[in-house]
Amino acid sequence: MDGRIYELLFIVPADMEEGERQALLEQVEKTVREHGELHEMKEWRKRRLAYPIKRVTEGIYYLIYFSGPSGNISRIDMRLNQMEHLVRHVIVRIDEDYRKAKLPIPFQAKKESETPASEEVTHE
Amino acid sequence: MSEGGRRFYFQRRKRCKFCEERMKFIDYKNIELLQQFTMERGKILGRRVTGTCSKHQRQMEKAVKQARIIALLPFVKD
Repeated sequence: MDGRIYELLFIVPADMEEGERQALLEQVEKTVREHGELHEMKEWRKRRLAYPIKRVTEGIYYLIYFSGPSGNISRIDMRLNQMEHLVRHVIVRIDEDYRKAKLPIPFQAKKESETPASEEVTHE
Repeated sequence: MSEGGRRFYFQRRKRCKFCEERMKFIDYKNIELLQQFTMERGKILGRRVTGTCSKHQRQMEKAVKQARIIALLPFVKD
């Protein structure tokens, strides 16, 4: 959609209860949808944090690709900051970097490879 | 250190890993790659150690710093 594409990476405590986690994920998803267009949301990996944050040592990383007006990013950021159980999050603008590198934007690459055989190897 | 001085050993010229692999964009999520450019304690290695070109050194530093924020890499490790 409109221009900017962002990547949101956030950490949820690994020892969180299933129900609680789902609720938190929904909350995040809702926040993003309210302020932009969500393209993809997925669990990235479960990992031991490099250092403890809020006494959490192990977390599950989730990755969201979305687009939206730049003015809304600070709003999303603020809303995410208010979520107590969300360990940490970062929002990174990716459209320019990926375009310059001529890399496919991850979620778009997936759509294209529905006609398979061209498995793109993006470095992850 | 031994710059300028003529020595008898021959050092293989280091080359920028990113240039060699034609990598134009360094992802902060690529932890395994970034770890090759940090010391065990978590410090970022200098250009003279790894042979990275200035352009990619900048990008790599940025990626490492982003990765630190989201706890993928340590600020310091003891």
